[in-house]
Amino acid sequence: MTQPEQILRFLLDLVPWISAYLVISLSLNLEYGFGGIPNFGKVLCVTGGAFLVGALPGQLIVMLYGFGEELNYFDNHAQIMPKVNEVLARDPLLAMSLMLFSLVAAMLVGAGLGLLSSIPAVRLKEEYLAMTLLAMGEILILIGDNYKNLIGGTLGVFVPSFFGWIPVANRGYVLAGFLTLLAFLTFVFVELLTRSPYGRLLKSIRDDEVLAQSLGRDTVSVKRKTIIIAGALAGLAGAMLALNSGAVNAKNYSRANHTFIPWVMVIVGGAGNNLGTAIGVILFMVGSRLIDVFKRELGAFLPFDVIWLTPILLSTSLLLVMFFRPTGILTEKRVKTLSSRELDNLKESVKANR
Amino acid sequence: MLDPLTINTLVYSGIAAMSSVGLTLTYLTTRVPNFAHGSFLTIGAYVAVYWAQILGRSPYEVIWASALLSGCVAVIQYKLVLAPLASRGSSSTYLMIATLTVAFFIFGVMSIFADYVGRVYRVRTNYIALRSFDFQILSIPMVMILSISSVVLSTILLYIFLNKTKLGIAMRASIENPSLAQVLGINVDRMYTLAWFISGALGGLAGMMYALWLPVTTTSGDEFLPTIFASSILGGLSSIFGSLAGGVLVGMANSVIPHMIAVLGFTEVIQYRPVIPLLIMSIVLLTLPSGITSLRWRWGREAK
Repeated sequence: MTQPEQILRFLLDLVPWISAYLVISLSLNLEYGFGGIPNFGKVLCVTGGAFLVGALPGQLIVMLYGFGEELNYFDNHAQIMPKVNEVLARDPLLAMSLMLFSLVAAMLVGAGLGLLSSIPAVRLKEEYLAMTLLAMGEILILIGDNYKNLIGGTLGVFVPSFFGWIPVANRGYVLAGFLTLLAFLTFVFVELLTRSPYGRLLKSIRDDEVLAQSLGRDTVSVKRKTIIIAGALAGLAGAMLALNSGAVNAKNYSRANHTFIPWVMVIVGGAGNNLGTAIGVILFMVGSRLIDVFKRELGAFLPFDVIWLTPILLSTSLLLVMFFRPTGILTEKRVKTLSSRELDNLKESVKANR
Repeated sequence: MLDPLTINTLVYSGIAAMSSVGLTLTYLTTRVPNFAHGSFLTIGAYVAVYWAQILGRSPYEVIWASALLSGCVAVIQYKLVLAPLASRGSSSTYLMIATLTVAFFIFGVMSIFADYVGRVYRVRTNYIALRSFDFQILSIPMVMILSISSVVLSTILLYIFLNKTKLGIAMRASIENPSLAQVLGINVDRMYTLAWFISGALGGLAGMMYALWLPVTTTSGDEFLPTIFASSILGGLSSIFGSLAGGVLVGMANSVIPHMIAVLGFTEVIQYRPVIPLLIMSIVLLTLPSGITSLRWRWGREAK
């Protein structure tokens, strides 16, 4: 195979991963970087979104078109799935609207789970909260793994191929492009949100909750809203992961991959700085994908599976950043305030205009 | 003769109590929950697994090694990561992330070891329980005796240590008021290091019992973490004897409740057993935020 082709294939694999993790990390950055809420149960909302994409659209098609209704969707998965994909391949409009509907539903599920985790979040002290959220995070994985009628239990389910109407050669590009678009929109949304008065209020609560309360702000409701918004984004990210891999299996979701790694990305990139978070995401995704690509070449020299180097490299780099550059690669931007002279000038001009 | 439920309950309670007392001890020193505490169990468990799998000998021969190795890892974690970070004035969230990082690091190292040992010695190193290496006394499995005796012994020893010995009193002083203890000439850092060693050693012991009873993987300790948290929170998170009691209670709940539900006819519910620690945690935090110790005695609650 030629060199450029290999690079292109690498990029095509890399870009969806970056997009999905960018959305998770941005949602964590909103919670922790801007809101100071230590969410150690990030994996909960991500699994919520992914499970929805695994469970809902396929069964909806079966219901709408009425084939195989007498069969169990999960028991006869291999039989039903080709028919679902056939329907979607014939009707691009249906496929696209169903996909958008699933994404919105995934966000709603994420928001709902966010609401659930906001119940302890607004009440408990930091350490208790971290412990509770960590324990909560794994619940949905456990249910998905054991309860067959959610996402097929241990076997998992396939996600209907929404891009079936596009020629096979171009499908990967379209998917990567679509996921990138979603990640970009999320980035713009989070950036605008954190620059708005709401974002400043959030930061003020992070820095001094009592002060914000004394100024008459309802800090509990602001925190709750933040967790719900972040939950919705994490649900979207879960849906993106499911779309990218084309299948959903509870075993693929874990504390390490969907809670810890986003934390690494946010802290290394710079908490409270969305661009920094993006840099952290790109850095780590490129690194971990490269390890994955050169797995075989590296494996020849090492008496163990190379993938285990990923946790070691990730944790070492995070510890190094925490010791030597605790603010991350990009530090949080200071809120721009006007100098007294500029304020005076503004006052003058307002007076003059009157 | 004992029925399996009783044995399971007692072993599980012992593991939970031994691990949660360590978590509480380290929480008292650094004021953050140690998310890497489960890793101490994994390390202790794998010492026993390798010993039994490679040499084919009884895991009981290496109880001391399980405890020692986990204890040393705990000291390294404290000395190399937490103490320097705390002295730089890192926030508690940062310290928690640091402990999570250590857990992830240990997971990587343990996985590499498991792979390496598996390939070199051609033995299974994943999903392996050492029950076949256990022996029985009067048809009672030894691991149950070990579990009960370690809970009883560590309660007695910790009580004597913390109340009757100079070293233990110095440790309590360092925990309750570090600056005052320092003024009195106590080396607070050394006391904390000792506390971390005890914590890791008890975790290693718990891990060794875990390996004798349940299948071990490199994530076993991390999966057990919610149970440890629930036990400590039930014990009030800052009371050592509370967490011992909490561990015993959570361990009991963890095997008795599923059994009761199964008796009622909902056998498939047993798979959802890991939900129980979370339920206990939520109920305790909602109804009795400072744990069972707030009900009767006050020791250890002064420190906030």
